[in-house]
Amino acid sequence: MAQDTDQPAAAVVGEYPVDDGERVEESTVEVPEDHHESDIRLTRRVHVVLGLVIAGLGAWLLYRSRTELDFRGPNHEPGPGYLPVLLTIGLIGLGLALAAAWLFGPRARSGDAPTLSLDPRGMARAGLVWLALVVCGFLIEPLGFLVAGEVLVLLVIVVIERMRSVPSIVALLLVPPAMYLLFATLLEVQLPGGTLWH
Amino acid sequence: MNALDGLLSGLEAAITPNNLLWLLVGCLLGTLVGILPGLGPPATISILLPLATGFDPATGLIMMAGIYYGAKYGGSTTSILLNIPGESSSVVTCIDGYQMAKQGRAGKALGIAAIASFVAGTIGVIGLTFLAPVMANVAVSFGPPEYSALMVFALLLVIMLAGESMLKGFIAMFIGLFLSTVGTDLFSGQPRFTGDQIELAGGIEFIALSVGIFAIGEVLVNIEDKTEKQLFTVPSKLRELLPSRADIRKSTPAMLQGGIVGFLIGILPGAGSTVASFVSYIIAKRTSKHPEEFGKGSIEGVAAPEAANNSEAGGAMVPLLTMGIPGSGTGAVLLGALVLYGLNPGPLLFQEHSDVVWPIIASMYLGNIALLVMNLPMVPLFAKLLHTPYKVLYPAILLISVVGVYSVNFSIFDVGLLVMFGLLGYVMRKLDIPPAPLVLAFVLGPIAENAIRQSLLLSDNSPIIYLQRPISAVLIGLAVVLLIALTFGRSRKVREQVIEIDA
Repeated sequence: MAQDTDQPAAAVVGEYPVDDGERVEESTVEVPEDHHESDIRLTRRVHVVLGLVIAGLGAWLLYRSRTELDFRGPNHEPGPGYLPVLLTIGLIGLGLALAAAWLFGPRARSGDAPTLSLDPRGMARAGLVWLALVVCGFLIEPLGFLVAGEVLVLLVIVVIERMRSVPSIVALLLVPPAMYLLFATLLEVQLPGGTLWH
Repeated sequence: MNALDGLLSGLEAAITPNNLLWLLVGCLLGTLVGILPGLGPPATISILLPLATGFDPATGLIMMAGIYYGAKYGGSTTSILLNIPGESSSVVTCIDGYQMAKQGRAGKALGIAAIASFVAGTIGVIGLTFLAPVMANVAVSFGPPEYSALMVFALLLVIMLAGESMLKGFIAMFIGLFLSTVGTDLFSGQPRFTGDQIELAGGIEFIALSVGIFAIGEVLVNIEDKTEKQLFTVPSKLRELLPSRADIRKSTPAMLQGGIVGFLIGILPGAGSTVASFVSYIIAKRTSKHPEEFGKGSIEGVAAPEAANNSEAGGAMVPLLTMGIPGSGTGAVLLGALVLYGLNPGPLLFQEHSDVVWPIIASMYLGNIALLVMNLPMVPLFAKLLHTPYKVLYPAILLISVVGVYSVNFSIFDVGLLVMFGLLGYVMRKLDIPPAPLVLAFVLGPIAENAIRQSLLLSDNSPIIYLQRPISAVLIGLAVVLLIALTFGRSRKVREQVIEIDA
């Protein structure tokens, strides 16, 4: 699970409220100081870049709002571009403020701000699952929901999780047909049958 | 006929074996379908409308009321167990409900959702029974300036869901507001940022955005860690699977407050259960003895929005039955059903068709009881679903999300949007940008923009109109006070933290 980013990276402490009001702490893990320093630097860089990206995106959208949409209507009332222009100006300001806060802000400079959890291996796993979903999305129309669903499931079993447990594999393989039965048959929600088969 | 007499006669008419049977069928169907994302109450009632119109009006409408309540509760189940909001009003329940599930407290969350729904739904129906004519007058006095002031106030409240970083909360909110402008402008007919895609002419589909950001984003974060450990802990003892007396005592103020807030906001057509659920959440957070628990699995954080969500149904019936103004998509379908039965909603409905109206209102009481009786025993069963190993669960979540989104408009384009928003939801979580302000701003944005533009049209572009009308002036004043409180409240908190660090 992703690290709780509200906590300093030096110690990972999780706690949750128990019903009678007592608090229970999970285990405390100490992270080496040099990792903590590099986490802080990375977090700071990421936030500065994020702020600049948001400001840049805002600027591009502002340009499009001003050139493609009417700011005022025929009776000088707010036009379709009115709100987009205001919002994009707001985004530019907020993006620059975020970048400035992480460049010059006291918490960022002193290293007391919470750090982000950006483990490359974990993100690569997430990326693989997302790609599997993209593949499924592309295949739904030509091959139909059942086949596309099985492709997703097979990618998870073989490539991502590399499962060995037979019950888990069987359970997963049965998920697409079970869903087809529930939605298409019982609820009469038409799911794509696949243009290739027609 | 006074309200009490009407209610008693309605109960007498509703408590027949036939009506009770179809009420239970409606509750069950509504719950099962409400669990599936994309098939919320409006779609469910639409699907079952041909079946319901085969009955006499009272029976058919009683069944539809059961479906409505059942679907509301079903939406809460997926919000809590899987972080998949079935509709916009379930988004707030995800915040603490899902955290509770991750902590092994899913049963308590589901149980308190059922109990809060019952308590607040009852408050809503009592309000409908005795206050309908009075509240109808209040609803009539809400024009575009009042709506826009309410939406501005609501958008500021959204920031209170931002967590530690208000700046990131504002960024999320502005992105959500911008995304809500995509589509065809209602006033001029001009397309905005549609990229010539016909599928975007009606705007971005809400379910694709919310399920993508919440459900897919959450799955991508959770599967980063390739360990065999169970993602959710599930208690084995039955008593730990249901809320305890202490839980119910702790949640009671949130339930009662949610019931009242939900009913009052539900009366306003268009404001809806989304606004009701998160206004109630914010009030519960501000008045709680443990506000720091909110966002991390607070039981009050589930009770409040669930209560508001359900009592809103009673409030939404007020403009529907007294003025024929549907407050939501479901209300629009119910209005269609009333017209199909030859009943014209309006001030005379209570006089001319009291034999239909009062049994409907009575059935809402009975529907609340039926849901509680049906769903509480099923809570341990639902909670046990979390025993499923996460590597088997998450592909099922991905496929449910795809099917749910596809089923809204039967559009592959929406599935594409789901995938893109799933990536956005993941990136937001990794960068610690809260998703709730984005999603809520997306819902409120069109209402706010339309109301503001209508107000300025009415006043010849003069913003003074907001101060000339008492309700909007009060709301604008509250919004200013809230903005100041947010700004200086945060500044003081940051200063206290800095002082603490220095010490």
